[in-house]
Amino acid sequence: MATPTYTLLDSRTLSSNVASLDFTSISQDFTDLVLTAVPLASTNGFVYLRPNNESSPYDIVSMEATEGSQASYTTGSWPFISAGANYYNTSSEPRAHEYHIFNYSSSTQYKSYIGKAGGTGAGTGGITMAVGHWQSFQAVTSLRIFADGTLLAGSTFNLYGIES
Amino acid sequence: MSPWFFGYLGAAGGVDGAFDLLETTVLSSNGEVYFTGLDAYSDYKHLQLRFTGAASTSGMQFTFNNDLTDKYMTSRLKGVGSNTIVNEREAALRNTIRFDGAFVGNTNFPNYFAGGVIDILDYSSANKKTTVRGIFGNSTGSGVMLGMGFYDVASAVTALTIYSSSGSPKAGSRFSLYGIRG
Repeated sequence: MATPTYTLLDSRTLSSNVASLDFTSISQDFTDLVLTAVPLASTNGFVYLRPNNESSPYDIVSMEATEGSQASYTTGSWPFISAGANYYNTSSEPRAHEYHIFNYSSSTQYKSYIGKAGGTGAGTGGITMAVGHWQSFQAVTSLRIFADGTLLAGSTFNLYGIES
Repeated sequence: MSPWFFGYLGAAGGVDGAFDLLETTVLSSNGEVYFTGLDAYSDYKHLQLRFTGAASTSGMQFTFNNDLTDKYMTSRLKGVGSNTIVNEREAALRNTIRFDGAFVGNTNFPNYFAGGVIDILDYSSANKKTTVRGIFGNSTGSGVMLGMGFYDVASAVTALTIYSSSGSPKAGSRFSLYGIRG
């Protein structure tokens, strides 16, 4: 018997600029989390995701292509989840982001994730994807999102749960 | 940005039943994974496999319809760090689709399981050969990958078997199969 399972948990559109955004009291009734976002930030730079607002330890390997170049990066001591290790959001262009956090309530496995993002701005456009792990047995009960600078009004974030 | 890039085709938040859980397997001991009787899900256009996997080595392999003959092609676009991106393609048809790096080879990383998403497109068509795509990888040495697979037979997929390239998927690995309406 099939089970409907892709459930919207929370949806936010910023009405004003904020330093950070928190999804809290995340239901533990699902297996995977999916976050889709179109963030705008006041400063060119990273968009950060931190489960339970923990700053470490994360690891990441990414594959990134911008106009005329491509590169891959890896690090074992990343302080947040991101869609790339050298991929920057911009203040001038909305970029589409998507993150999958697998087995987010597990107390026996580190949490693996996939991040993807892309934009098409002239001179700044590019696509990135990344995989990594949060080296923690904590269940993800909250998710903090912030950026270099502030998150600007109009930024959108949607959090989904997927059952298994 | 196309749904292809985002690795899913489900209409999240849309019509009820557009993206449905069909079956899930969490291994209680090491072993291969079998999804059979997929023709029972003919209401769906595509299948999506979401998984967290580990094995003694990182290679994930799978077949359709219990066919272990040389009818599968795989290509992988892979970022492995150190500014290296490579495009790999099997030199010839193989007996499995080979998504190297989709598992964590977790002998040295016992708490790590790699997450991934694989779409099996138009899986019930008997008029064209089956293609799959996936995004997967691990940060324990394999890298991040886009994978494409091809089954050189024009028949409906009724069974999916998941292997590892050495040994079997490990206990704790989870494989969830979803149906996507088209």
